[in-house]
Amino acid sequence: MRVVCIDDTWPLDRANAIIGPAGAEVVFDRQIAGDDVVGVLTYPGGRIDATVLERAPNVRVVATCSTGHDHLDAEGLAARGVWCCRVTHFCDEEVADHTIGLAIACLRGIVMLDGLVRDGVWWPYPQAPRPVGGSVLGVIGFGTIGRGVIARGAALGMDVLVASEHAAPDEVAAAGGRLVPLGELLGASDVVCLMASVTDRTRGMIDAGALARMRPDAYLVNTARAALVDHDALGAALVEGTIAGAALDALPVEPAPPDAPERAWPRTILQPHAAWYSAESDRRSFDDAAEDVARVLMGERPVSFLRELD
Amino acid sequence: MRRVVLLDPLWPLDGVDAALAGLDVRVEKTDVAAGDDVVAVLAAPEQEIRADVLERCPNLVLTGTCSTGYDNLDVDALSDAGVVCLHVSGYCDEEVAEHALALATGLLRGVYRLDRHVRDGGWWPYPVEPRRVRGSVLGVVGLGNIGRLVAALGLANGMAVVACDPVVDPADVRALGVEPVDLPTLLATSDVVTLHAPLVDATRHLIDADALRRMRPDAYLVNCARAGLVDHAALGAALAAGEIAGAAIDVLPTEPPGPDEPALRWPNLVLQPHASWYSPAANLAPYRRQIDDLARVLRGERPQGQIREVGA
Ligand SMILES: NC(=O)c1ccc[n+]([C@@H]2O[C@H](COP(=O)([O-])OP(=O)(O)OC[C@H]3O[C@@H](n4cnc5c(N)ncnc54)[C@H](O)[C@@H]3O)[C@@H](O)[C@H]2O)c1
Repeated sequence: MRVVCIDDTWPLDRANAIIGPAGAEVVFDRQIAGDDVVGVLTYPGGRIDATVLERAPNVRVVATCSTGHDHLDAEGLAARGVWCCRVTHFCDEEVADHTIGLAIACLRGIVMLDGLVRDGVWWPYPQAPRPVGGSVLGVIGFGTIGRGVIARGAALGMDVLVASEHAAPDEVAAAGGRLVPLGELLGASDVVCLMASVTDRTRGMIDAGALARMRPDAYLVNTARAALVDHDALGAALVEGTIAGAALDALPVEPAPPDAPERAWPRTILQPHAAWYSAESDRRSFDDAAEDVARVLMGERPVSFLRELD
Repeated sequence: MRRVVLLDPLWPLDGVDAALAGLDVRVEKTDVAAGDDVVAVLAAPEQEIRADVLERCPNLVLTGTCSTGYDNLDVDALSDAGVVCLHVSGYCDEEVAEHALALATGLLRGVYRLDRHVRDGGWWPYPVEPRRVRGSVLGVVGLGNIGRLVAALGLANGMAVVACDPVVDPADVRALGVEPVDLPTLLATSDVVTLHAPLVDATRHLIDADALRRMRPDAYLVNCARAGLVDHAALGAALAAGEIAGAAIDVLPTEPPGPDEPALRWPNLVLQPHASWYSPAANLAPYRRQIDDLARVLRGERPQGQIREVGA
């Protein structure tokens, strides 16, 4: 039996150590074909739908090393009896660390100050770093990572406001924040962090109107998804100086092309979709996916599947 | 009329006249302090006041630096000669501690290098390898006013904190939730080493080639204290050779640096323009507090920021 991995960066030795005991060999191949193929390991660039069964009729499980699963036709595959798995929570700590890191980097101005020194400017005055303790951190979204950011902000002495349609005030208070309406959060925060998932209700939620409610000295940190933000409006707000700056780990087109407009925005920190990363989380993203494949091949239920099989 | 000389051309003058009203002094900004009418000389940290000022200003009563560190004053020689030496402490403890934590977190998460990486046409975090902040080890050298706050912020951020300070009782260190260690142990175990000791003879080049070699190859150095704590030639060599992962420094041997400052060309270095002390609230505080202290001395009252007693 073979499990075909279509991601050439996947550490196959570890995948084999995990899946080997279930009786299959993991091989790298761009083609998924053959009666002996029982599973597929994929990544966000590798789309898999039920047509895979035309070439590999015995596939029982498809697993991606990502949380995002737009590239998998979970419904179509489940209808044909194939488990579709993804990995979740493998980088919650990393994203929360990176988000709070960007928030305090904005307040203390560290990236811009480095640029000033290299441009021949000394002393902090043009950037005017601000205090972290006592400043207001606005967290939009109350998921696992959002709660991690709230806890970190509160621990650093920040006053944490939270906007979420899926949270109760006492839950938010227990996590270290205060639940407020979105408009109030936008108007009061020194730093606004986006920690919501993209849904029809959150798509484009940070539009020109939302940006106009933000303080002129406020920063926007987006380590979630670019689709939450109207990037034309954000670019205009930064160029016109109606907000103080932004730190973006999610862009509308990734990798960012050479002509990405964000490259020209002032007072903007750009990150290459890096918030999720640490050596540990990188390893877990691959290993957790491989473990679900091994479970299915041994006749067990996978842990992190997208659709129940009938 | 007696003269107060301000060596710092940026010293803000608003409020100075009001604070010194009725004391029969005139304030002047100049880069040479000389004359029998000079009673006080005040400086910024990058300006030095050495014992030779005693010859040029025979009636000197007071010297001061509008900073916490006072390595720019010959405190012993001046105090021995009866001149009061002033500094200001505590006006920016939170600011410096937060700045050091922001730099430590920024280094571990690769924030600065990742921004460069994107602008150089790269994508994905791999060449920089951001690390977890939670569970990483923060090594605090100097557990004074600022170092204690840095330790508390590191703990709040989920880091394990170790510290060395020759005068703080290990039991007091443990009471902070911090593990007391000696400097070699701190250097060998920390993911980030952050310096918060004053620059005195005993701490000059505390971080030399040997100390840098003791650090882990994946470790970072943060210096928001004074450049003299670090042997800069050795730091440049360690960064160039990849002996440590990177550094963030807020202080340079010459400030402001000239275009030929070697650090401008070191790899994996975040440079800050002596900025850690700054916040809008802290901005004018050191100047105001020092002028208030000057007024106290001229009125014959006890100042708040006197470094040591006068007299040999
Ligand atoms: N970059 C900036 O903007 C800025 C602003 C303020 C202060 N500073 C610097 O920060 C330094 C610390 O300030 P502070 O208010 O905390 O001073 P502090 O006097 O309260 O604390 C300094 C601590 O360092 C300890 N120490 C002395 N020698 C040591 C050694 N060899 N190893 C380890 N620890 C040692 C002392 O025992 C003391 O506890 C100042 O001296 C100043 O140079 C920089």
